[in-house]
Amino acid sequence: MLFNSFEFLLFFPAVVVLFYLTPHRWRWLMVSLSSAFFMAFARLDFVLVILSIIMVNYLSAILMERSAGCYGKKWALAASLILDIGLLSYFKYFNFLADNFNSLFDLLGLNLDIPHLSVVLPLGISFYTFQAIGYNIEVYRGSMKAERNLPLFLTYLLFFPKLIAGPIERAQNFLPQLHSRISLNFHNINSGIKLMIWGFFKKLVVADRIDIYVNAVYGNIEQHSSITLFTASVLFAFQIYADFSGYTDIARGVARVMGFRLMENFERPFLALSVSEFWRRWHISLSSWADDYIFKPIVAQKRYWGNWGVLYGVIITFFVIGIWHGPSWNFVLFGLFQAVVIFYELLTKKSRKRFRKKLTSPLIKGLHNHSTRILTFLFITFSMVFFKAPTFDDAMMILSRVATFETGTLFLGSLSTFVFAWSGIVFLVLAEIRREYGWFDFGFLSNKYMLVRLLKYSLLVLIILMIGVFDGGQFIYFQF
Amino acid sequence: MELAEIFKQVNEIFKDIFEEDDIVIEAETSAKDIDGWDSLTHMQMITAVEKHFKIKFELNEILNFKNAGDMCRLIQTKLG
Repeated sequence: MLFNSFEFLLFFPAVVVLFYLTPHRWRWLMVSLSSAFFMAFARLDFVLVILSIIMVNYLSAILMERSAGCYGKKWALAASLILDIGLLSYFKYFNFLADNFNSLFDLLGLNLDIPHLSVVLPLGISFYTFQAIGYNIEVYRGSMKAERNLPLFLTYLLFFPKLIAGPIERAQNFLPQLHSRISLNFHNINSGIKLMIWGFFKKLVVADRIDIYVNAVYGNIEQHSSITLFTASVLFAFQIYADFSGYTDIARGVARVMGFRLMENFERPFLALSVSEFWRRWHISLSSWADDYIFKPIVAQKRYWGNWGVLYGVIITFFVIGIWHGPSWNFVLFGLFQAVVIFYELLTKKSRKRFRKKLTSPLIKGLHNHSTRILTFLFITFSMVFFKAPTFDDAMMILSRVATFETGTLFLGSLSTFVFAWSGIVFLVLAEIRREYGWFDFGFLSNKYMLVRLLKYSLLVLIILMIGVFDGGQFIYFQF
Repeated sequence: MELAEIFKQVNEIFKDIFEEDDIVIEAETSAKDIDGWDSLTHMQMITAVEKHFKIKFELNEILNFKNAGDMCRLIQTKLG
């Protein structure tokens, strides 16, 4: 079921009413059942996959806690990790691995011919397996207790607002919320709905409008000029941001209406001054997960290697982040580009800091900041070409055509699409700048008078209804 | 060794690693408080502390450090 679908319009209010009517001790069963229904709406067998992940992780955490020796604990963790990663790999990476092995053996003159599996990727599997893995590692480390209440644990992984595309919520943040009693609260409903409206604006008005332009260009690379391909690539960076952060706002808003606080996933990433900073602001639930469970343990273990240990940690971490997005070398490259730049930034951090200290004039300092910000954005735009282009050859063709600076006119497509897309971006960027710096009292959605706020939100809803794209389809991150 | 003495010696290591002479660490000092405290300097600092006090931290111990106080107390335990 999609957030931007008619079914969800019926499902969501029904669940909220039921949620508040159900007594506390039955609530988690009710939420689990309605979340299973939400998923079964896509396919019934997807529910079986998530239920098996839930049961294994539920039991392994309890086993870890019960086993007195270090050995038993390790085995329980290993068993759950093998199942989590194994199931994810089976559904997501089997055909990719088969293709690569077949090609490799072809090169060696052997005909291996591993056949393809015809399986459909279960919705949300990349998100809930990572949550399950994080939970088990925390229990293994002893930083949290295993959850014994099954309906409660079911709710942690099944909770429908974050089921399909996250946030990859931490058990230590989410489980305590399930233990507390939630009562009907006007403020939660109010702020939750506002967050949802803002999310729908980003998705339907900004992202899906840009999508029309980007697809027209990326679907026909050979026909377009350097400037058009460059514009489409910049627009895609904004599209994916508006799409995914819009989704996250809706997910967080839906959860908040029911009294839950899901973690922030984005903190104005395009204002970052470096690629490392970008990753602390972009898809935070994934990047902080990778930081805690991959990067830090590797670097701590390889600390005697010095810089090489850090390089090793950065490469493995961004390899996982890259391939997490999908079974393709383009995603691996997308990740490795980040790794190289972040390693460079780590190595040069001190010298860059010394350089910044030497800049005394505020004007020069400001110029320096803005240029590093733009450079960071351009790097992200460049790496996202590999994210969007269907094949490596397509990505290379786009980049080489952009790099030739060949003359040609800018393709506008439908003028309204181009104008609406850019207007949406300008609005979004202004809102971000305001939140980051509080520079000007843009305050579009805030006002001390409730009536004014209500009018403003009504206007936003009207804008969504009038210029939103309603046949834009699903959110980009649903495919992961 | 007294905890205060450990803090004093760790403080010197911090000054050296972060190249800031005016750093004063307290029990609650964490990565948020010191400019330049990232994964690289963190590990440089841990290895410098291990070398200085001639101790070795377990992986789990390093990952559980929340602030300078956690580390100094663990150093004290390890020194016996």
